[in-house]
Amino acid sequence: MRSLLLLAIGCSTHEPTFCPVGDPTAAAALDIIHLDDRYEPHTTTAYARVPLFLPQQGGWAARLGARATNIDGCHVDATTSFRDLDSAQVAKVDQRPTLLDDLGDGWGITPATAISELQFCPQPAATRDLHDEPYEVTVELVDLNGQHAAQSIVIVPVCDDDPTGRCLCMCARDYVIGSPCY
Amino acid sequence: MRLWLIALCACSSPQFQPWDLPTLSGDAGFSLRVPEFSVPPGRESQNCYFVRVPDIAQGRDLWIDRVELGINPGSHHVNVFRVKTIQGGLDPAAGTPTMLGDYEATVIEGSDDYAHNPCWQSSNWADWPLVANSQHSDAETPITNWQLPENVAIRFTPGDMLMVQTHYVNTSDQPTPYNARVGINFYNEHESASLVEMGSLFATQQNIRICRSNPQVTYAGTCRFPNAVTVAAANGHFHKRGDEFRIYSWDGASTSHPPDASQFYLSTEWDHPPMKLDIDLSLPTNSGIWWDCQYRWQPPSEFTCDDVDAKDPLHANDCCYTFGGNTDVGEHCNVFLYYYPRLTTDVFCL
Repeated sequence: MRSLLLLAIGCSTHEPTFCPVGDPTAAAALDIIHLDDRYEPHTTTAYARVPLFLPQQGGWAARLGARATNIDGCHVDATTSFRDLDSAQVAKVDQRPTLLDDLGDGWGITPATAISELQFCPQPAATRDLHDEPYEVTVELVDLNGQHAAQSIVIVPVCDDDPTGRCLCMCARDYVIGSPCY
Repeated sequence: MRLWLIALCACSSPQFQPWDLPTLSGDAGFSLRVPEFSVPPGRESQNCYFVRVPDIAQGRDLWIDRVELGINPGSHHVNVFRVKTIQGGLDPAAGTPTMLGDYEATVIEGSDDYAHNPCWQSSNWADWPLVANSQHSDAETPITNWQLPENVAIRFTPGDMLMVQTHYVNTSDQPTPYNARVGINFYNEHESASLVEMGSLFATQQNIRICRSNPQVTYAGTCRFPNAVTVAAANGHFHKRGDEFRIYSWDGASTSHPPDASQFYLSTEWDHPPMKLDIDLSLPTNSGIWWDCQYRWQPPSEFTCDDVDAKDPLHANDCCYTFGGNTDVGEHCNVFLYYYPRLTTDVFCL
């Protein structure tokens, strides 16, 4: 009976899907991307103004992902973080399973369904405003085979898509959680 | 064989003794009692009760050093929040008058209308600090007794508005066999001169997707404290796809996963996650916590994948569970944690 059970388990085991993007034997590389309010991807350049948006449970977050090559697009974890330029302290880390849609040119891109939402505000330990000030973001990808790529870049998170003023209020350095933002 | 099994189940089922909490009077504290109600089979119920902190000490602040919660089995959670920014219809003034024991209150009954009722809309308490909570309810131990660390207390000012949120589930996964019933006692410590205030941390991973095509996934996040703290208690919260919930201390500088030795909380039971008390973990300035939510996809038991798909904002049609309060069609990845000293603010990582 035990043998039968083991046999059955053995038969159901299968290799995970492998979806190489580019050459998985070469060094992996990535460029950070961010999404706008219409979920359209943009390559994130130095000092890019990256919009913050309101997730359903509150806070203000940036949608960040990657355009990457030489990596498995089906089994890859993303670690996204940001830190203050004046300090070695990391303000926030988000880690999740992600995907890369093959673009057909040797590169893949994070689809909206697998994007990281990195909370910028509120941050009770903030020493500067969290909007219209530069912060360094890092995106790191690691696939099932250990292929690894990372990029860090300075961005400027902005509240441009919020007409209510609440983003500016909650992303101010001296905002105290629970105080009104009208 | 079937007869034997039935007989065995009947003999081993716990005999439920209704819980009984003392009613506090004078300046000893105050007692809240949620009126008993039933939850129909196959349904969930989330209610939001609003009540003001009574003035029981001649206008002085109350310092609560012990919280007792009596909860009938079937409870998914009981959370007590301080009410702050009011938005989206979750307004105490919009509730139906009721009584919580001796105290006038209002209630917004969310029933299982998770898509529309404001009691289910989590954005409403995005800045409502948690005061106390329990996810523990079974027939043998229906009372959670939380004695805070020595010289540490929760501070209330008379007139503060509180919200008691009850969430009951009556499904095959989490039955409610004896009606829904909740009582809370807040014990007031009179000698307040040397007390330190307890703060709370609420952290959540909102952007989660547990999909049929990628059934085993782990999401992680971090949350920093504004000052050096001691962690007193914690519990994790997820739904039916939840496999393991782990919380670690985090140095606030590294983006790689903390070592196993820094883990201080583990839950493997989505329906009865443990509340870990007496953690007594000191964390230095600029540090915080790292938490993991590990999931294993399974189909819904009361609804269908069509219902799950209808809730998916990205319409992937992959039976992807996304953030949501109903345990059958939505998922959570929340940390409830208590620390001291609370300085200027509680902590939210959203």
